[in-house]
Amino acid sequence: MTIWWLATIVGTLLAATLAFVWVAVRLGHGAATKGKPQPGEAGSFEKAAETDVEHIFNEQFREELKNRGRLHFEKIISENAMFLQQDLRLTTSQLNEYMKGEITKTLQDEFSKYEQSITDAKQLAIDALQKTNDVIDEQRQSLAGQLEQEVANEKAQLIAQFEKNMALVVNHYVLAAVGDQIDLTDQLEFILNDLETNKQAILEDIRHGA
Amino acid sequence: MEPSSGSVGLNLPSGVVTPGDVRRLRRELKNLEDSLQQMRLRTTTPIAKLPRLGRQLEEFSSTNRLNMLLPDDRQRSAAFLEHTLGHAPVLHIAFATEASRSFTTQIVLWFRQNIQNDVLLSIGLEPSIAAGCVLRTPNKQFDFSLRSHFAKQTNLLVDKLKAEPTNVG
Repeated sequence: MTIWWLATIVGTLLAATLAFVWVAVRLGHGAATKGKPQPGEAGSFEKAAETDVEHIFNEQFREELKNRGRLHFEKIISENAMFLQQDLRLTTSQLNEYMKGEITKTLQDEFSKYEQSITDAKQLAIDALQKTNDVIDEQRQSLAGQLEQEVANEKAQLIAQFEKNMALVVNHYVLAAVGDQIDLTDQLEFILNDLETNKQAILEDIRHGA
Repeated sequence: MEPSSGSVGLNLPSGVVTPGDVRRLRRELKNLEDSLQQMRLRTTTPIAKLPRLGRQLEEFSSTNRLNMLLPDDRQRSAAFLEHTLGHAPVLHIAFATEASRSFTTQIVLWFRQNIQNDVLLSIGLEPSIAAGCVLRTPNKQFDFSLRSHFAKQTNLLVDKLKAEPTNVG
C-alpha cells in the first residue's frame, strides 16, 4: 500500500516536472524566434529604437523622472536625515548620560577624596588644637601656680614691710610727738631706775675699763 | 661709793660735774693762789681775808671743809684736782633736751654715791632719743632711751594687731 502511494506521488512529481520543462522550452524558443532581427534590418531597428527612445524618454518624461528622482532622493535624504538626527539625538543623549555618569563618578571620587582630605586636615587641626589646648592648660596651670606663689610671696613681703614700717612709723611718730613734751625732771626717776638696774655692769666696765 | 685710788680724802662737790668744771675749779684755785701770792708780795702782814672765791671753789672748800688761806689745803686741793682730771672716770651721758643744773646734780650724785665718788660726767644732747638717756662708759654704751625701748618693742604693736585685729582702732 505504502509503496504504491509513494510510487504515485513520485510519478506525479515527475510528470509535473516534465510539463514545466516543456513549457519553459516552448516559451523560450518562441521569444527567441520573434525578437531576433533579421539580417539587413539592423539599421532600421537601431533607428526605430532611437526613435522610440526619443519618443518614450522625451524631455518631459526625463523631467518627470528627474523630479521623481529628486523627490525620492530628497525623501531618502530626509528620512536618512531624520534617522541620522534620531541616531544623533540618541547618541547625544547616551553620550550625555555617559558623560554625566562619568563626570558624576569622577566628581564623586574627587569629592570623596576632597572630603577625606578635609576630614584628615580637620582631624589634624583638631589634634593640633587639642595639643595646643593641653599645652596652654599646662602653662596656664603652671603660670597660675607661679602667680599664686608670687602673689603670696609679695603679700607676705608687703605685710612684713608694712608691719616693719608701721612699727617704725608709729615709733617715729611717738618719738616726734613726745620728744619735746617730756620734762627731764619727770624722767629722772626712770633714768635712775635704769641706772640702778645696770649699776653692776657700769661698775664692772669702769673697773676693768681703760 | 668707792673712793678713787690716789685720792687725798677730798670729794668733788655736786656742782662740779664735768671735766670742764674741774678744770675751771683748778683755774680758780690757781687764780686764788696767784692772788694770795701777789698779796703776800705787797704786804708783810698775814692775810686774814680771802679774796672773793668763785661759786664752785666756794662749794668745793665748804664741802671739804678747807681753809683756802692755808697753803696746805690749797696744795691738797690742787693735787686732788690734778689727780681727778688725770684719773677720774669720765662718763658720757646724753639727754633728749638740755639738762638743768639741778637735774645733772642729782644724776652726778647718784653716780658718785653708787659708782665712784669722783666720777665726772660729759653731758651731751641727743634729741632723737625722745626721752631717757644714753650712757657711754669707757667700753660700753647703755641705751636707756625711749627710742631704744620702742625699738625693743617693735613687734608688740604687730602682735597686738594680730591678736586682736577687730579691737584696734
